[in-house]
Amino acid sequence: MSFSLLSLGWTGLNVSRLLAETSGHNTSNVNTPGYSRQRVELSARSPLWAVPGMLGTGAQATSISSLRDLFIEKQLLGAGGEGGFAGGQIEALQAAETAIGVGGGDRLQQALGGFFQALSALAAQPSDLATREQVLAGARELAQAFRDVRAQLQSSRQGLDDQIEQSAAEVQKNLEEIARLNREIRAAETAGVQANDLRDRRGLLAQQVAEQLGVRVFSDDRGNLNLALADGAVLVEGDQAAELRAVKDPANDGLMALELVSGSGVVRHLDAAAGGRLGGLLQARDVTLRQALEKLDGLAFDLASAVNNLHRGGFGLDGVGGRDLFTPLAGPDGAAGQLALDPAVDGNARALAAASDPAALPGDNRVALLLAGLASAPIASGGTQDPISAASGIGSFIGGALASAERDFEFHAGRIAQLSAWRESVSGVSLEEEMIELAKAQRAFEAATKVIKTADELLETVISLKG
Amino acid sequence: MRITEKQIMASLNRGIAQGWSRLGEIQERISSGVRVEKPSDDPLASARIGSIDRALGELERCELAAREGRAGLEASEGALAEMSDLLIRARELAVQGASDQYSAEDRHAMALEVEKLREQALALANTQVGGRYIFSGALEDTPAFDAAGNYQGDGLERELEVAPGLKVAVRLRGDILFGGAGGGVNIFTVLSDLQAALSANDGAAVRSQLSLLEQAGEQISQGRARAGSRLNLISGAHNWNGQLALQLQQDRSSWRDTDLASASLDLALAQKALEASVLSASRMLQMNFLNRF
Repeated sequence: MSFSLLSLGWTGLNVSRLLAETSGHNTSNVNTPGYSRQRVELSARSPLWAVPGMLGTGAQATSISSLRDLFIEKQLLGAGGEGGFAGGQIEALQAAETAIGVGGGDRLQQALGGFFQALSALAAQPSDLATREQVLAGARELAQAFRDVRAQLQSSRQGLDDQIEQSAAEVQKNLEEIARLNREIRAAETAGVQANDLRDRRGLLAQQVAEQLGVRVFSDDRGNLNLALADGAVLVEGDQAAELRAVKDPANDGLMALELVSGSGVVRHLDAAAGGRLGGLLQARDVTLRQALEKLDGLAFDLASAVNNLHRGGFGLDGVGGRDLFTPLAGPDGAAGQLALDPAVDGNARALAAASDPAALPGDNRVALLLAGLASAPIASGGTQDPISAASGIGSFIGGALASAERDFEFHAGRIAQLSAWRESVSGVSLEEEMIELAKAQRAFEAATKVIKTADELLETVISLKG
Repeated sequence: MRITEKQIMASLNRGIAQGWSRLGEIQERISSGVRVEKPSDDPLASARIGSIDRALGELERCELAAREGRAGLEASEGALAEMSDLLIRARELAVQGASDQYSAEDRHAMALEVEKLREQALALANTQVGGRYIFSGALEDTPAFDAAGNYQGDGLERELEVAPGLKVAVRLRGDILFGGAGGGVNIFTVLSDLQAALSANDGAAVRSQLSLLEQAGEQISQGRARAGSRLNLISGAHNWNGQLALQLQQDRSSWRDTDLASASLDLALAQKALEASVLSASRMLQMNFLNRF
């Protein structure tokens, strides 16, 4: 009987040591990202059938479980993806907005204003050579402004290539590690052990992937965490990870495109619908900024065509008509990048056509008046807008997209903070709690030692009887 | 709800970071005096500012045209006023010359004066502004009349847009004013005929010029009236442009500029909020239960 008392004390020691160790593990990981606090599940050992009734045999630890709320974690993944989508757009659009012009100093708008101002001066003094030089300078600056703004928009699109390449590589690494962890967790858990720390690590990696790409997660009954995009494209299935790679896309100005190669070798092209920060970057680059570029090109083309049409109908001081002011453009495609003064007029102020009648030189201002009138004529955006409004519309277009991304980001950041607080509330380590747990374990350990000491004394009493 | 230190730290962190960023934003708004610096600050306001800037640019262009047009019309008006005085003098001479009291010598002296008047009239009709003949129509580098009194210009009355949508002709036609086009009399011919009649000591011929001189005077005052009404139009447009520009500038400022009173209030509030966050953080950090265990 005293022998069973010894073993009772021993189970108490064992369990208390385990409690203290788990508290210590929790305490050490108080600041580990993704860590969920662990708890030892205790139960009484199976009793012995004895004469007066069942006799207890001590305590045992049945498992070490980690405390987590899978629902909140799923929500966090979703919120992370949506926040990342807004964040990616902000990253991309901020640079573009600055390129167009900040502080009311819209480059295009100013250049257009200067150009039309010079044309008005030409209408007032059609035969004045200094005024004509001003018109040429205004037209040259206008063409330069179109080319510069286009180059800057284009370079703010190209500037994203590095980020896209780097993030894709990072996501790829994480996907592979998730697949590896799936394998390890499966191996560990078929042996009946909960792989808490591995699961925490895997959860953290999934959260990191979710910020870069909008993913859905599916857990299966074998303990795998499977990741797929919103449209069902598989990223990780069991211990197989798809390959995410960034490649140059000749169909899109040679910019980086994202491709997903599945385990069976099927190649998928990813666009903004992929979500997450990468989706946000693509949305900004291939939707918002591309539309801004199209608007810019369209405006350059419409303006050059309208100006040229009038200019060709007019006559220079030399009595020659039919000349273009801007080099004729083939079509709106890339027009803003090609806008330039026509060589027939460049450097030859007398060639500027202000007159509508070659017999009424040099004082005829009728064509100059019409040209100046283009400032408020609906020639842009399919004949619905005057050119200056259309130019300021491009800045507003990018600014509007940026402002709405910023609003979204703020909303999702708030949601993420709230969900993280909930997650922390369930899974976070509280140092006070752990100290109390440690004290509890220490007391129990001391008590169990006392039990063993008592058993020892009892045995000694029995042994001394014989002597 | 179960609260851990990490949650507290995260929320303190967030509170202080938000406090600083809000404070920085308001401070920037106050020091720059501008509320909308880039389109994303307020897309609606930035679109409004863009269209106001466009309208202001248009007004500026119209003002330039109005200044230019006024200069031309005022010069025309001045020339016509002098022409009118000159014709009055010519008429006085004609009235005197028509009277038979005067001798051939007297009439000869008058003829000399009329010749001078005709030269002056020619110079007035060939008035230049900035090196350009204002009565020549589009052919502004050619004198309006040659020495024989033949019109050398064309009939173009240059128009300028002096207010949005309002075009005003800023040149008067020399051929109608002085050249007799459109049913009038050629002033130079009338003056030469008068001179010839005086030189020839022909009282009846001088008398026959009287009604023509009257008609010429009428012609000039019609021209002055036309110039005056156009100048009125332009100065009306100028006033209107100015009022509109003032209104637009006020409008622009209300969209774009910081309202200092409310911004200072915001600044004070943001400051208080940040102070409170920092204070509560320092209180929380003082709490340490671990040494009690």
